[in-house]
Amino acid sequence: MRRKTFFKRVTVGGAAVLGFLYPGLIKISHVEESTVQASAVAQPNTQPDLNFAGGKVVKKTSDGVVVDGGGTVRAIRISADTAVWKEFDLKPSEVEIQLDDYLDVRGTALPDNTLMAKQMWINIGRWDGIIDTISSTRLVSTNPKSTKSRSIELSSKLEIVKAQDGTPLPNHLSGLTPGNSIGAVGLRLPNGELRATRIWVW
Amino acid sequence: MSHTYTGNATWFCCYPDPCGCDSGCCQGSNCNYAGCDQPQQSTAACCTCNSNSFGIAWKTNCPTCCNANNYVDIACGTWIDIWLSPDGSSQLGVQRVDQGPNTCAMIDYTKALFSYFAPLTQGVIYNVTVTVPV
Repeated sequence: MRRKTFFKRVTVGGAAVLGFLYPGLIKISHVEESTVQASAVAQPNTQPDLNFAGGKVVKKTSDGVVVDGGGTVRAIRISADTAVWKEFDLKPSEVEIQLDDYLDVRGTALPDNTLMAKQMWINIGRWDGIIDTISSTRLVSTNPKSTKSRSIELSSKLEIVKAQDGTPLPNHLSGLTPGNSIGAVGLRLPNGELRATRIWVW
Repeated sequence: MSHTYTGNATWFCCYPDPCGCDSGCCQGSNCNYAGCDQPQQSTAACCTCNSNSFGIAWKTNCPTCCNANNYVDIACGTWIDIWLSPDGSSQLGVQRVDQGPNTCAMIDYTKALFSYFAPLTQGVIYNVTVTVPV
């Protein structure tokens, strides 16, 4: 995504977030293509985002699924236009959602409290750690806090970038070495491992 | 007086994948898990671990919990101003670091907040500036 486009989306999104978080308290003083200036009165930030849902799939329905996010149950409607991620970017027709899959969904809240999904991520996971070992197909990383190690598969679509600016790491996988501090996102596998699709190096 | 931090924002790993979270409270996104250390962790962690809510995540035990060099210690409960660019041209909002121990990863967003600005698959939002009152 072009930087300018990204900023535009983010600033407009930021204003929307502010409007959601602090209804009636926001004054947008100036709006241009890529700039939104806003002021807000601080309020507790524990409001749920009704346009987002996350949870385990507990039921399949005729037009979607029902997820349980630890006590919050929400029906998700899925259309042919819903963008689905499960390691790869897919169409809804290309993936079968299973019971107990964990879904994160961004969409539009409907009056009946269902959520019409625009983007959906299936079993996405995160990791932070230090690389212990690395090969062409996987790496082992240890989280310095928990001292827990995790074996991480490397997806065929793996991106490796510099954390500072998001630019590609020179030499791709060859640029990673034991001792590197990394963050990663990827597909959580049933065995608890992660198949990384994006790694950023500090 | 304020302190300005410029860096990246990521999203918090949480239920059902608590590997990157504080041990204990992320196991069910609720306050009933036995591992919760009331009152220090329970409410805050459960709040943070509810990915459906806007918020800034926190982690315990600085400086070893994360990439400490890239973060600053912020007392939980502190209100912070978040900007996307160093010149302050685009304010994302005013957010409170959730209750709990001091955080070293205060730019870990909940999934709900992060996904408002970028796909979760991006993992990182770059060039975020945070102003913290001192």
